[in-house]
Amino acid sequence: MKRAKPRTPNTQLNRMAHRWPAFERRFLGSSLEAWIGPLRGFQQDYQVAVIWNYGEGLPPLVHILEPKLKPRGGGSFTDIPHLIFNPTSPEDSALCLFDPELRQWTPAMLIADTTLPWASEWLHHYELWHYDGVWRGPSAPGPRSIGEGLGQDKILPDAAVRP
Amino acid sequence: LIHPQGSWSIGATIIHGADDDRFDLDGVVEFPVPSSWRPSTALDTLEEALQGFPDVQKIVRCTRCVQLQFAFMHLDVTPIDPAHEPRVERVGEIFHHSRERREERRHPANPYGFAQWFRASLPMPIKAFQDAVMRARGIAQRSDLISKGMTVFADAAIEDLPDPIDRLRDAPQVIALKLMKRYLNLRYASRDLKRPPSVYLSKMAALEPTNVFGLCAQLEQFAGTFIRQMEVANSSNRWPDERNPRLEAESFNDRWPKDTTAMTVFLGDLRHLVSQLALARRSEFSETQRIFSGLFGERVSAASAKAYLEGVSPEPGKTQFERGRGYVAGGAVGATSAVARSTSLAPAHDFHPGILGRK
Repeated sequence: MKRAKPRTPNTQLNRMAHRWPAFERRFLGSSLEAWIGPLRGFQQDYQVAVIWNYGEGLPPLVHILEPKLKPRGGGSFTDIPHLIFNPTSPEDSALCLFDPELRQWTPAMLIADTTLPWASEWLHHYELWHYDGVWRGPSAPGPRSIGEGLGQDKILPDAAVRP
Repeated sequence: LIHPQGSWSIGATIIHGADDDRFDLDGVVEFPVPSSWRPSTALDTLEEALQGFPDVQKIVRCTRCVQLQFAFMHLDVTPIDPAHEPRVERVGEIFHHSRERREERRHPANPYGFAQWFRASLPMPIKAFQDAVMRARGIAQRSDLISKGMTVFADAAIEDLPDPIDRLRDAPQVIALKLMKRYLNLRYASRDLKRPPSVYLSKMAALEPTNVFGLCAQLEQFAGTFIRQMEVANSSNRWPDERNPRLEAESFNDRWPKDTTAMTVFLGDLRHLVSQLALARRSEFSETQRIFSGLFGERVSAASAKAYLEGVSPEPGKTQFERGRGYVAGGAVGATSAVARSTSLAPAHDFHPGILGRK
């Protein structure tokens, strides 16, 4: 039976420190935690930030700090698959790691055991996508990028970001 | 009696690299040669005997062998005069004849013994590494070309051909050796210089311990061994003098290096290889492909990329990851160390697009 009770911030912090010791904790304010550290892609490591606003009941967001998120040659940021797209600053878009409609992530889950591995997997597929434009990771049904979904009414349901 | 030698006998046959679709194989023809014969006579006799060999496009006389050129490969056939009885198995003398330098001499040789030593020296690759290589090989579909090459010998009296699906060919030392040979083929293609002989590279490869950090690290380690040997040779005048472990009288360095320039050029190539591999480690996949194309040829690089990409499953499933490091892909040939280490599983999930802040 799946656990339903949300994990406490302390549990999340301890698990992160134990499983991802290279990640530094940053305290951003009340009910807001962040971790910054290296995460493996395919050929290279990326510096990423995990930001968790548990006060508002949001899932953790993962942003790429270095090297910066970039589109394929001749393409645009809206073509990058599976982003939580930031229209005002596309470079700071977050990675969309799960299907919120299916509640694939819930606060009962451990960030260290879900968000981080999924983000690393995302980076792996992102590097391969840069090579030939094919996304090989598991994808929810529907468009894979904001660009692909433009003009399609059914994409981006309200739950796309906030489960 | 014909038996394989060189890369063929140790499972390290490669496509030439500078000349697409061409395998280079080595074989030995053993026949008693009258002591009155000069080395040139033995080589001439073999060349004459090989005229009309099935499917041969061209026959070229070389310093120590006769080369048969087929559509997909070259076969260097080296005559060997068996030693007098009692004899260590297949030991004999090979013949050296250079028209340009007017040299004629015999050399003690035991290629069969060396092949046996090579195969006995290498530890079998771990199963995860073998499986990954087999998967990549299946996707790259190279085995069909090897088969085409081998059918040429179907009617010849050949003994003891190594198993063409010998697991030893998937040992990291053997793959590192193949990559090194491809790299050197490309580097020397436009040079009028003799390259380090394969048998010398092969012996050094067999002496390398298995590197648990994967194929790239194995190749870097292999190159590092030669770098140290060349640096010592240049600084102390102690030139490499590798011998056949099964016949001390047989030197693998009798024709290379000829001078210090040969070693300096080789050293430069090795340093270039190591620096490019280090650069590839820090680069994203697209850039890595460009680097590998420059090192090993576009064909190998593209085939490796294709093999890897086709091995990446789009099916949803649990995410395998290494704690503190990240995702572990199933199809990676270089992922030996990661596979060997303990991994964990994250729940299955699907990536999904969205817009930040949209409610």
